[in-house]
Amino acid sequence: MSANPRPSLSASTSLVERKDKALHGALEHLAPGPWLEREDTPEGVITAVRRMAPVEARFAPMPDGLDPRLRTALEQRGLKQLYSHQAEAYARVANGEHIVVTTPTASGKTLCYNLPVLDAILKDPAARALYLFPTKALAQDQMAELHELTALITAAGGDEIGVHTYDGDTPADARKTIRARAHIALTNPDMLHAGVLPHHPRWAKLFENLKYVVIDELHAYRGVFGSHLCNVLRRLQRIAKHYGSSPQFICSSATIANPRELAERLAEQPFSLISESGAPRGEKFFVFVNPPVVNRELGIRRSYLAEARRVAGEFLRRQLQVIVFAQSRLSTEILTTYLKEDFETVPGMAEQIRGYRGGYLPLRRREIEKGLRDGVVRGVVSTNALELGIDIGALDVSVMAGYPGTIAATWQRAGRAGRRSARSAAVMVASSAPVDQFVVKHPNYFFAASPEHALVNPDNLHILVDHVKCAAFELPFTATDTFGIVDVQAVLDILRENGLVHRSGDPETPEDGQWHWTSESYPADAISLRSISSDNFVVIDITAGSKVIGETDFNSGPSTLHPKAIYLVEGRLFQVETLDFEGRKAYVRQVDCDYYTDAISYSKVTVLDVAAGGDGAVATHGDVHVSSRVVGFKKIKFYTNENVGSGELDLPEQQMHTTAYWLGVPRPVMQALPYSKDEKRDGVVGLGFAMKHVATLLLMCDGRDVGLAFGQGDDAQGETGPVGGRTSVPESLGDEPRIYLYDAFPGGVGFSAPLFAMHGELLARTHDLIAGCECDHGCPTCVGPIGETGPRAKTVALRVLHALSPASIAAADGRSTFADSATAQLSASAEGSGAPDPDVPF
Amino acid sequence: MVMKPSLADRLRAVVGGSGVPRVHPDAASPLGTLATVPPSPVVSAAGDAQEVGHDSRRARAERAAAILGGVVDVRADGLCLIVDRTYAADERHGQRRVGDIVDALRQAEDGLESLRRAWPGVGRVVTSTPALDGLCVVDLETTGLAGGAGTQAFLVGCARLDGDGVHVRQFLSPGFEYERAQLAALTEWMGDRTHLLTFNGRTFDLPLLEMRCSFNRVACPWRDLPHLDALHPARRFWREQPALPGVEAEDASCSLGTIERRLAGLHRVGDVPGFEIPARFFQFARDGRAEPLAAVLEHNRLDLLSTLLVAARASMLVVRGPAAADRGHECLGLGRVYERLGETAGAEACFARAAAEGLGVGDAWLRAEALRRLAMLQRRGGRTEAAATSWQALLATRGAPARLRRDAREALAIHQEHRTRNLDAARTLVLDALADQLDGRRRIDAERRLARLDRKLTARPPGALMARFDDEPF
Repeated sequence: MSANPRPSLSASTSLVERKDKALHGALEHLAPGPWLEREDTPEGVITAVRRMAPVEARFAPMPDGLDPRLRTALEQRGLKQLYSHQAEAYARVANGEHIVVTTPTASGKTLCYNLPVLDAILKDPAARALYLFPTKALAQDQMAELHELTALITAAGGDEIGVHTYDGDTPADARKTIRARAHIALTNPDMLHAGVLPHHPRWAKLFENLKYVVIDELHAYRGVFGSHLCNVLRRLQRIAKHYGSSPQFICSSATIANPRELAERLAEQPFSLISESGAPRGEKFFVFVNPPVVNRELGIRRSYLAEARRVAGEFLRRQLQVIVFAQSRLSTEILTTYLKEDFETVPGMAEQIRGYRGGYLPLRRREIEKGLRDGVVRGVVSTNALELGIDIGALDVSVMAGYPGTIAATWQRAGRAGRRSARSAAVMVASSAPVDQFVVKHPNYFFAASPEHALVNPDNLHILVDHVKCAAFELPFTATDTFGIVDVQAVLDILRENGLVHRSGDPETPEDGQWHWTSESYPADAISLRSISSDNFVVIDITAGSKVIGETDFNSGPSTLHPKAIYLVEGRLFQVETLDFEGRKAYVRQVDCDYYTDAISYSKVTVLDVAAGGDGAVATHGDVHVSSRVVGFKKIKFYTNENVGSGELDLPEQQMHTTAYWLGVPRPVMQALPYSKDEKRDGVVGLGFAMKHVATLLLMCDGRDVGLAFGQGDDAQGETGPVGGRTSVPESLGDEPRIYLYDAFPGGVGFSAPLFAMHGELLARTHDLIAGCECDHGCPTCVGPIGETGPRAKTVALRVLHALSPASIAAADGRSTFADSATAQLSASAEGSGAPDPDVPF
Repeated sequence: MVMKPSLADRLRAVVGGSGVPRVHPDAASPLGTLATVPPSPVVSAAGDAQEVGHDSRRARAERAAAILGGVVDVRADGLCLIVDRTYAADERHGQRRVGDIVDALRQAEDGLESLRRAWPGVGRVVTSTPALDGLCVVDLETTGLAGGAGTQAFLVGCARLDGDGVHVRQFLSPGFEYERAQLAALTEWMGDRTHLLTFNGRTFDLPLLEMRCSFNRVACPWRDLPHLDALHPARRFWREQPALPGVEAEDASCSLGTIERRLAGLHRVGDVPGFEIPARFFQFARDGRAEPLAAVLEHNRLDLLSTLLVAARASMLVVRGPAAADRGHECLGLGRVYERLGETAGAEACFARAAAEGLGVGDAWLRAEALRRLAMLQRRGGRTEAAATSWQALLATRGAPARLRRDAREALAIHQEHRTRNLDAARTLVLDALADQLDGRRRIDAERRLARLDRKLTARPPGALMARFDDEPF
């Protein structure tokens, strides 16, 4: 709804002009060219500057069939016509299609679903709609917007339309009323899963009349969360069917490569895609910054956090409102500390620089969001928590400290700056991580490539079994029911063995039998949609009394909350005194120190089953068993990133059954290498290191979602190997080494098969990464730090790649676009006014 | 390479270890020891169907009926097991005669009506007084406590007055698939019932039954009946203040078990613990053996009788007034009930009596709480002097809870400042209050009051002020 074309901006012209000037000033200061003032600029600190030209709006008339009261209400908001994509959405929904809309931030996406939903409710007051948002905050935002519109509709003579959020914050005494009165219930998948579906008889009115299910931010549902959501939607549709309704799905998504496929996978219905935006947008600059090399031999660049601090400072100093995205909670805290130092406020005044991340308590988060909207907060440093559409107003600049990991997330974060008419900028500062270096040196990969695929695996047994329990609790399964592709009757039979369900009915007519839930527990309570295991650790500050200050999911607990770990909250440092693993509690005390900690873990992979490849093939994927353990940690000094100490840890082992892709280097290839045993091992380890990073790039996932391990031949007891960058390497890898890239979630969420299919591209891109790196003998950007991988790692890794896949490497070598494009782009657009790039998916 | 496990094995590993305890078949007698079989393997690999064999559902229900002393109601929509039990007047519930309980209830019928008025159900307007003979006491045994669509009320127990005795009818579902039949049988029997009595039914039993009805899409027969949840008056009368040193957690609780011990000296022998009830039903659904359910049915019947007992005693107190209360806490509770009913005079009498008793038995909490409530009633009635006297008495009570002392000081400070205009006395009270631990709002109020009092005081001749200051506790 915020997408109304406003007639004039004259009232705020002076402000716009001032901001434009400030923005130009800052950009000029960043960019090379005649304004060269920085001594560190010469060798390509700025690797790309792109200008996205402003785009004119494309309109369509209001649909003929639209309820006149809704039309009047829209007109009062200054909306006399629609953007073309909004009109198309209305038409397709009217035609009975399930739709998924992918248009950019601020293109009036919400009207694509509000229009058909409100129209349907006005025409049939019994009709009901369910809206799903990935977070409570988004639902609150949307409710405020809907209330504005429904008030206008009521004023135009329409019936009262009940719009209510229903989530964990809804007071108990209001719930009954909401169940009875809400035409539109706004909730999140977690609440739907644990608070609505298990109580469906109380929601009979909704389910009997459920016409639309709206899923906003569809792209957020990938990996574990998406796999869970698919099962929640299976349960939802099962219950709707029980009450005689079959809702239509209306989804909206950020730009990903497969929005339609994702929607179809999640809702298990055919979808139509609407991807042509009719909304206008303002001019925007996109800048890639690569921090300068400070030690060429070791391949060490200036800290990207320091560079991001400098870049953000340029904008903040010019009174522009800035959002800085950091890669992790840790770097969020570090950057917040830096920027607070730079832009210290007078004591007693509201703080201008804030940190924002998951794990902060809700009240603090709401306060920061409001501060951003009001302009009290001038700069915020956030994790991806602010990537989704929480209303923080239109900011001027988005600075990304580190490549966000996916093209989709990068555009999403860039979209946090700039709205329809004003000029804005996005700056990506690359870290020395391999993925970042790959992207920053090959801007075309980013600007021209289509974004990534969102993957889900709803039939992951861990996830599936959980939801079969919930579904059995909600409605008995019949002997002929299905639930996804896995044989649900087999699942039920195992649940029966454990006494969780009972099969009723006459044994002589088994087809009439039903599976009933026979446990006093409430299964949804024990199942979290955000993780495969619902466990988490709470962080308790015992500096003075004892106070809960945060929480961490089970998987990352051991690596972030191990004894002596440094835990940060908004720049304050705490040290973990004890980790109560059984009780899932970490007791921390506030400390004053100049370092943070980084954990080291080991994992061991055992092959269980080969799905494709195997038998001496170079590439294979299949099922594996992984056991991993956090074994130690390093102390890293702030600012300089020096390693200032380490410690050993003895934490419980975590085990899982998952899927993996692996590369087997054949014996002849290894034997033909003219290097020592250790050098060969270093080469393979370095290759794995680089492959892992390229894999996360191709898979649209986080570095933590893919595990790396090494093994040898068909030996099931394969060697232990390191996970993550900071660690020592296995002693020996023998003549038939294997590099395992495994799905880091129990049961897997669907990474291995696509990786296997992209094997050729994986090797070619890995080659690009290693060969394109400026270092002499290997560095953290390609095959790992030289001190840890040995001087020949880079050479051996490249030799192995050539031997394995000469064809695809040659093809990669032949792709001239990558090597030169950065400089070409730079000269073409350094003025900041080059021609718009037609390929940019903006 | 290790062999990939089969789907079933993988599923077993995923589900692993989450089995629920099973009740041993020998746990039939309520006095028998209850053995739980280790969770794995809880069910034989053979299907439930084999366990049942070729036993027909009907024959199985008949056998259960024989064991539990009931009959099978064969209906168009399935089977329901019905167990009747009549308690004659001379039978005992703990140390009480059943006849005495019924008699008390009949004598105090008006009291029951008053209690219902004190806690009216949401959206239910009671227009006429239903006759006591139309009463239905309801208590459920369920497959879980969390609620939700997967929680069934496998046993619905109902009790009604039957002359000078009590008649209990229990509706037991002989298997998950017969819930609809069970609800239909219940609905039929409920036809002539005019009002409901439960213990904790307002938040648990009745919503759950309503949920079961809407799940089965049958009309809910008790939806609009007037209802008294005896838990509410019970809390007023018999729950001691919690978290006081020396008070056992058990005494502070307001469970039916605690109350029946207090009111009837009932000590249940071989009672089945609540957490075990669902498992006994699951076991019955699997293998058809009804013996372990006998104790569940008995448990349910005792709960029904105790609910009647609670209602009878509470109604009696309301009818007879403070003189009938045998403890100060009961008297305090009665005052609160009268307060809800708007019977101010009765409430005041109760609070005054409770305060006196608190002094007599040396129960500081009781005395202070009774005085606080008395003072508030008096102030509301415009008798500010009387209220001040009560507050003074509260402050003079040794060992009164800090929270109540704060209330008293604040109220007295207001009284001294605005009524008697004794500014110095008011100031002393505020200073006392500030010396105490005060939370945000109260502290701000107290500081404001102090500032205002100081302003007013400085407007007076300095000599007099200084003379008074000598007495201030600096």
